[in-house]
Amino acid sequence: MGFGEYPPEYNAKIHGPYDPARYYGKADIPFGQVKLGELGSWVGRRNMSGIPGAVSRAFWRWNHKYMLPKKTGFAPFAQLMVGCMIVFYSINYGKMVHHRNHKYHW
Amino acid sequence: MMANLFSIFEPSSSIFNFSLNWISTLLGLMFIPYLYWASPSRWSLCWSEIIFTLHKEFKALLTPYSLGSTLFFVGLFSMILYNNFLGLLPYVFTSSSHMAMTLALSLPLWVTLMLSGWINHTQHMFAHLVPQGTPSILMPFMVLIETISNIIRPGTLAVRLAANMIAGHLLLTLLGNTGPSMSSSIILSMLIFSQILLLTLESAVAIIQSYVFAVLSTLYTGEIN
Repeated sequence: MGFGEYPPEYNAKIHGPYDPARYYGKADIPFGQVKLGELGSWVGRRNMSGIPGAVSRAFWRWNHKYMLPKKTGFAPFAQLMVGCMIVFYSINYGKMVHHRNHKYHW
Repeated sequence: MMANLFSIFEPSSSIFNFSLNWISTLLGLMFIPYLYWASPSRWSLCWSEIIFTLHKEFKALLTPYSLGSTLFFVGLFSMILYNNFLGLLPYVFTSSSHMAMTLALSLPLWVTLMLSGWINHTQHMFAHLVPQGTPSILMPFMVLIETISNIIRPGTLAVRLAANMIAGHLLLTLLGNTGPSMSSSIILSMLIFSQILLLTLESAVAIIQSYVFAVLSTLYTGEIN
């Protein structure tokens, strides 16, 4: 599956218009219903090359739920801002962790 | 280690000292709404409203020859707006406080305008050096002054944006750093209150400075025709 192409399992005649938030591959047991003994085989069945697709579907699911509805609130922007803050905190953590030992804080 | 007061403006992150902090420049893209359905969402309408108002403002300033460039200036405005605004959040890096970024925006713009103006409309550019209604004795001085003001334009555009951002952040940092060692709670509450006021001011400055940058660029574009 190349960048910008439909997934190979998508068929316009069967599935109708393309929905970027939907997974078109073979249906598997949802993670919440996997028994502990089956966990190893469930993880083995995961498709590691489909991670960019998974990220894309997650992004569109978030958009469908929060940004694209007609009457949205401030929630998506608050989530984005907190996400930004967490990302930058984690990037700069190594520099900031020494501040607690400093006498003068600049 | 935080060596000095300006360490918050350092783009180097703690991951092998790569300058990962510069990704804040592109983070504004995440806030711009998509149009997936036929009827737009609330934020989509809001954003379109802002953009169309700007487009009408810039259309009034540009000559008929360069009307298509409102797209560029509106894009410039939104990029600087998101950069300024996101920089106000805690821990997020302000990339428009660096001359590297502001000069990278203003210098190519100005050089392009000057080159296209002086090569294609030389007579017009010379005429612009003397404003209308100048007494004849003052003309040589006016030419000198206008030339100098023309030359320093990229510098002023860049420095105005960077200095405004740095000044605001510096004030907030200085006020915030006196907080932990404060014993009196009255002064502490005054400090917190003034920080809230400063934050409000900084949000306004963020929006205003991006608008000023875009409008001045539009004016400079309108002058060359």
